[in-house]
Amino acid sequence: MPTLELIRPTGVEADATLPLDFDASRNDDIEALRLPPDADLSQIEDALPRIKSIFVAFDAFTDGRGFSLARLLRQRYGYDGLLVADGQLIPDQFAFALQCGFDAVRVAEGELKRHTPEAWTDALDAFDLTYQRGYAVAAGPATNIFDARLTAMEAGQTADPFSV
Amino acid sequence: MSTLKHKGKGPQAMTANELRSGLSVWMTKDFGWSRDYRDALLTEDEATIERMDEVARAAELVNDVVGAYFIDTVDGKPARYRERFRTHGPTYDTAELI
Amino acid sequence: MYRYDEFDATFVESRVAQFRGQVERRLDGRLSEAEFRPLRLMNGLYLQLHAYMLRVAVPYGTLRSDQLRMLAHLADRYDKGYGHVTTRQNMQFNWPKLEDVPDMLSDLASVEMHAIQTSGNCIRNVTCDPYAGAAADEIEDPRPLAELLRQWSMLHPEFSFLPRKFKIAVTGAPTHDRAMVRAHDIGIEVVRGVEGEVGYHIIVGGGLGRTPVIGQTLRVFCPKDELLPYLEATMRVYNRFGRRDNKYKARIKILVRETGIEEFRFLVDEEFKALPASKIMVGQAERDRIAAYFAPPDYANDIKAFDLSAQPEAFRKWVDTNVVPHIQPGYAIVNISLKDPDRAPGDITADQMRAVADLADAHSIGEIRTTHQQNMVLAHVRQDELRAVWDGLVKADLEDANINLIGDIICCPGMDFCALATARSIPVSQAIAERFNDHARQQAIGEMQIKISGCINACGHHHVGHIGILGLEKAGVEFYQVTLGGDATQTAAIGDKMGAGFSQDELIDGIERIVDFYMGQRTEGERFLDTYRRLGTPAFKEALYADA
Ligand code: HEM
Ligand code: SF4
Repeated sequence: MPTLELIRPTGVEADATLPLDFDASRNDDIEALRLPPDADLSQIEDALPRIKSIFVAFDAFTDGRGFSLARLLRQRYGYDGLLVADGQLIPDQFAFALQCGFDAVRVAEGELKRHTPEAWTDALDAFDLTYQRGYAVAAGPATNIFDARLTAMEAGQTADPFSV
Repeated sequence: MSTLKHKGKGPQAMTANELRSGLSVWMTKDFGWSRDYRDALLTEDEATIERMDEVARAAELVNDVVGAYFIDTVDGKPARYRERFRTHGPTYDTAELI
Repeated sequence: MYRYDEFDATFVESRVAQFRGQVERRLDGRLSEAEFRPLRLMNGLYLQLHAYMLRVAVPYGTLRSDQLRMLAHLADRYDKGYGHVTTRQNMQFNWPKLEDVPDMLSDLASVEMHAIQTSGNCIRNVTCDPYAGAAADEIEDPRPLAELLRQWSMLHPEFSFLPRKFKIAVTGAPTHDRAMVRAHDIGIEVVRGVEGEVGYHIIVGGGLGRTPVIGQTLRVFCPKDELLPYLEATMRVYNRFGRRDNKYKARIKILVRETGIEEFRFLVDEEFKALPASKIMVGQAERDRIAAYFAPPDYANDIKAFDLSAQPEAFRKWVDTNVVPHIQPGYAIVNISLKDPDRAPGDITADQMRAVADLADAHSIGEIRTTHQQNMVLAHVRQDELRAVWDGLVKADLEDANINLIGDIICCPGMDFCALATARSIPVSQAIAERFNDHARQQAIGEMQIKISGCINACGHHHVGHIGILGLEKAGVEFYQVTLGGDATQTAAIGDKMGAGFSQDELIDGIERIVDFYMGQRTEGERFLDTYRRLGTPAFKEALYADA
């Protein structure tokens, strides 16, 4: 079990245990669940309201499936518990992770020596803007370019008394 | 990453690319690097090969070179067609017409 | 053409700053090569056979003159004085240094350019019909769509680590596809719906490489509003289910083939239905904003009929081959051939870039296109200024009159530059160009597309060449395999493989034999491709191997 290193502090216990298998028939609260990148979300759909935190595994940082899983969990399944990107991410993916719906990234402790927490926050600060609608988040790129343009256009229009 | 482990045939040479310029280099007799293949150290001696391996790994770690690997040679030239190309550069380059 | 607003500019500047930081971290060792590699690739920086190679994005192949001048500046300042136009309409520099790349990207950003997503397993630079906005056969200019896709795909949080690269091409002229939409991961044709409204025909799963596949229809008609949500659904299905165990099976074409187009369409539709489409789509107002940049120029209507008969013969020949009709009476589309027989196809020197930029300023609203045939285009030239354009091209040594003829060869860099090559391709194209150097002969042969790749990755599109050539190597000796009957247009087809390969010399003789055979067999008005289709493979195969 690697040390828990949440890059963005959250309320999660540092030593949350992660059951690697999941029994959907249980009906008690589940502290934390670890999902492989090829997880079939329909199998855990019913249990989602009982799961406090989900750790989506990134076995390699080049494997982007976890981003889609997060997006689906948030958007299609309405999951609102803690969502953690867990594994081989690099700082340059931090913003992407947050934008797709993760609350936090967890990497093995050793990794933080090379990519310091500052490197992670710096990488996050690199972008304020995002082109993709629905992917702007307060903690990361907070402004969607298309929406901002529309706001500007509309502001321009309402200044015209005849167009209200 | 280096694919240093050599299972080669015949005299071995070590090649890589300079991190900064990207240019091809070969390990020299004094365990430095040269952009000229003619300076390359070719050897079948296991201990020397071991040493080349260590030096290349170290050079990667301090970020002098990237992608170091052993190549086979025959009659003093790289065995593989591709590696021969790396030693003499493009046969055509528009740069030469300018 | 499109101009960045403050958002676009800030975005690209942040990207340059980010890459500068990444290069710094690489140089001081905080990033390992394994970590840096995908990051540099996402900025178009490769490590090639002899050096780094930087691939600069030319979004949908459209350049302003100041942008082309900046490319000339990069070539002079950081490279060896030339650039290479690729089959994906981008420009490559063969000799940059890692330390210089952040400065190169800064220079590019100053003219609203970048190298973002010209490589790596992400959505690549979107390519487009080079005659867009000028072609008479177009339903609608596809460039506003291409620009929208450029923005939408830029650093997509969810789709930047796909199983494999992802290439999108668009055309507004489905009856004359000049963008190879059927050889892309996704191809989009502008079409009209039943009510006459404009929308998109979406084609998926095409591609070349080691497994060439012609794309299939994913959706016959996608309304404009639905495009981005629909693409997002498609990308999500690919991102989740595309194979990651084997990089040779990771393209979407393999997923589509393994799941079957019906099932694949079903998966996309399910995903699409579950999406909050209205939150993803980009509305009419923004689409109009973008489209306004591509509004037709103010055409003159006082252009006098242009009398060619009084002009020199060389000029008339050039007009004949390189100039094509424009949608606006009095105007013409000029193709600038980058196929000097002595050069590498697609290579252009810094001086030539500046000359073309000047011609564009003087005669074509300051705009230049790059083409997937590795040429350039001035899209809006007054017919009474054609002579001035030609004079300028002659001065710049760019007057080759061979567009779409046998000398207009598509060719990848091959073993001369590429780390993945198995054989050279540039010398082969030069030898063919030399053999058929006679203009009258080229004209007589007519439309002919020869495409050459230096390995099975097929960057030179050999599968869809009328004559395709693939360079391979065995025991240190190069040899070349031939395919015939490929087609890159709306009637797309993968060429048929002939038999045993040839040495370079044998190859040139073999090509001459099949060309002569075609000339002998063709009926009135038949192109090589038509005759090939009529007579079939065996007849041509026999001609090809007649001497062997
Ligand atoms: C010199 C460095 C280059 C490298 C390392 C490279 C690498 C590759 C690879 C590995 C593929 C196959 C990908 C796959 O099937 O998954 C490919 C395909 C392709 N490349 Fe390149 N390439 C290079 C240069 C070029 C150039 C110069 C062009 C244009 C002239 C080009 C245009 C293409 C195109 C159009 C494909 C299409 C095949 C497809 O989409 O399946 N590439 N390249
Ligand atoms: S086809 Fe092969 S040799 Fe040619 S550029 Fe592509 S990868 Fe290189």
